[in-house]
Amino acid sequence: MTKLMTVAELMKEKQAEILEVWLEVIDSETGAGARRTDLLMSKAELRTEAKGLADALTLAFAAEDYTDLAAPQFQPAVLLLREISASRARQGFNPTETASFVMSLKSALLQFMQQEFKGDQQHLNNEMTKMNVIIDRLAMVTFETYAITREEVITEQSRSLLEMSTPVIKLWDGVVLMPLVGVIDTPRSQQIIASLLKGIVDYQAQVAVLDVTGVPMMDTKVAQHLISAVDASRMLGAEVVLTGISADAAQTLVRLSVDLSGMRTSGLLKNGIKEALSIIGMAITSKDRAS
Amino acid sequence: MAGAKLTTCPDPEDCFRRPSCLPVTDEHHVQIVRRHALQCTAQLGMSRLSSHYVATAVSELANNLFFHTSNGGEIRFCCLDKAGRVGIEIIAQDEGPGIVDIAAAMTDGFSTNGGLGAGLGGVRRLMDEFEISSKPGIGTRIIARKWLTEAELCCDRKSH
Repeated sequence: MTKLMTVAELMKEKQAEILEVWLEVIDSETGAGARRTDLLMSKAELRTEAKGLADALTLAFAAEDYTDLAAPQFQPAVLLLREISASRARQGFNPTETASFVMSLKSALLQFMQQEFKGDQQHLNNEMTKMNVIIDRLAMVTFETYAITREEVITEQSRSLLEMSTPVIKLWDGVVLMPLVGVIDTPRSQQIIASLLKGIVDYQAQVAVLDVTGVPMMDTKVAQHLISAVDASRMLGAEVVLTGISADAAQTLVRLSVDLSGMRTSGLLKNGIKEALSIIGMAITSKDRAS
Repeated sequence: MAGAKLTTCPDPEDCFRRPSCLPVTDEHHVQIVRRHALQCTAQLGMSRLSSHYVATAVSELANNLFFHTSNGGEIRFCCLDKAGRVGIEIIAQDEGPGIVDIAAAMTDGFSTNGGLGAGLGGVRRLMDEFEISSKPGIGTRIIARKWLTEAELCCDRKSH
């Protein structure tokens, strides 16, 4: 009896055929997923990725110790999968679609293995175990990379949101305005204080108007952050006028016994601007009165 | 249904049953529970001001869970419907260090971590009922309730 091939040899010998079956499986397996795959990447791209992975896997299957993903034979497959997985995460594939790419190779390979090794059940079992372990581990790598990449995307997004949401606007010589929009949590408050102080220094402001119209809720934590912003501004010699506290927020702050009496506050931004201008000795008057 | 009196809790399925217990283990969870509180109060037909009170109280409690414990805690939302009274119950629970001196913690200006120290006393003033139990080393449990006023009960919910 001739010695049966290993899964690595099978993969090497019949790679072209296996590739075709694999692509068919990818196409048929997840109905909606396949359609999305069609939508998000071309057939040619998919084929190139699959071909590259098949090459890398041929090498991986030949590894002596197939449980050790750190072995050099696995490196091309691991690196390639990380790359594929990361690019899919960024393209907007969902985790199932991403992982099913490598998982679908299982059913393709199985067809060939069952045909090739049908004479020897023991051999089939051994090679199947090996194939399963390797592909499962690689699927795990796919998941991990997918999650890491998505997390990176989220971090990037929140960072750009943070930058977007704290502009300092020069209102007049010596007066800056900072409209606050959204939730003020610890990282956000640090960003607010940093931008505010930078704005005060850059524009040599004597007054900063801090408008909280867009802040959904003022609790003691938010109040504390605002008090710190005011204290820090005062150290730079700038007075802060807090505007835009809603009637609901005012009543809530009173119940919380948050003391904002040390701050200049006013309900409307309009009045805040008026007060800010009066601090620097300016006023807005109508043309008639000025003449 | 203007003028109709709410005798039962509206759609208890929606806000109160499904995610009625939310974890607070990260700072952004504070916003999640706050928004959930607003959904609940909107469903009950609470006035804007009362909803603001409840949401702020929830936010205070959630901040406490996050800033005073190492593992965070959870906040449970319950719809109350007892003897013609409708309201919301908020239970904040943690397995944190506990509060050694509850009376001191309830005093405004008392803080162990440099905060304003108005949180717990504030929650009591924002809500209608307030219960606290705490064992050092075991954890803290705070129950706060806010009832709908007669006016809110009779009012059409959609008018808010």
